[in-house]
Amino acid sequence: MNYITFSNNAKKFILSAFGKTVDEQEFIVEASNKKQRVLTPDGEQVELENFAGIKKGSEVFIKNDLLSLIKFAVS
Amino acid sequence: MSLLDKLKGIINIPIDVSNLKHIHFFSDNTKKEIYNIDNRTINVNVNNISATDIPQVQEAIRQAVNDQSEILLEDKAKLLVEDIGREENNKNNQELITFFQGKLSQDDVDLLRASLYIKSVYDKDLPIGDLKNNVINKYGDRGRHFVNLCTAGYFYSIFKPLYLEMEKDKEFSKEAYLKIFNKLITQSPFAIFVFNQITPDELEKLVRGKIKINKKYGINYLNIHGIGEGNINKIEQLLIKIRKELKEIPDIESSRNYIIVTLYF
Repeated sequence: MNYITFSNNAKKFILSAFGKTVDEQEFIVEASNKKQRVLTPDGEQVELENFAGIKKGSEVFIKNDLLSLIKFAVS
Repeated sequence: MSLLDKLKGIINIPIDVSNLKHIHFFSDNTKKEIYNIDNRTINVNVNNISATDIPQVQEAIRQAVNDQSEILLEDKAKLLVEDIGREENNKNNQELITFFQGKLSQDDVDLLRASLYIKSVYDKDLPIGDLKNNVINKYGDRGRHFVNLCTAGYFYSIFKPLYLEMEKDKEFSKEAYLKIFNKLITQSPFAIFVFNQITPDELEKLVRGKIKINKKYGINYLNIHGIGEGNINKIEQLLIKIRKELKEIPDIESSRNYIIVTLYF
């Protein structure tokens, strides 16, 4: 797999590239509609702290917990 | 055009980038550089990209993901994904995962993979609390039992042999196996895992309760597992209290930081 990596402190820059920002509770939301929190393929909302990355496929958001990364590793 | 070629043009990188293999974005307002090169990685400081260049850089990143299937991954997540990949190359783990693939639900196969990874971390004497909490947060007590049973080797010693044994029966069905599997996972009738928060009195109550249930179903033994000095001490205290009530002398297998006691009643 080809990865582009980013450090924890560049998360907001990366999210901004995809038209995302965070709400008052630090959940990732659409910049154009801050009431719309982004979802993982499992339907989970993503806090900035738990944001691990994005891959192709209608913007698939990846969380940084073990189970999400296990699923990601074989997908 | 690759993201690297685009970045070369946008942020003006006056060197040959064809040897670079990896792009990494970071943010540091204490450094003046827009980028630095370390080994074959270009590290781009997003803090120092000019306001006019930011939209172009972000567009290039977006295109790399959407059009060229590049994957954006945070540093720690990438390390974890790589470590998971290394551990899954372990022959025993691969065999076990392959065995249960199609037999358990996909969620449980993922849970097994996570549990095997946690076991590999534990085997290296590294902390597993956060990883285990990841599983417990998502799957609650069932996840906790699943990890405990896996790290204690029960997938090799019980769950796989049980499937192979049941499969010999003409009436065998996967559903019948899953019914038992789920019961064993959720009730863990033959194992107690002593955790840090449990007090010696609570442990005694738990063990006595399990003995009563096991006896009712004709199970005449109970395994107690403890990891860490504190938990080992609790189990040793328990043995002193209940030894006279047991049918046989307990089997004790222990190492510096692990104890398995089998009680017979």
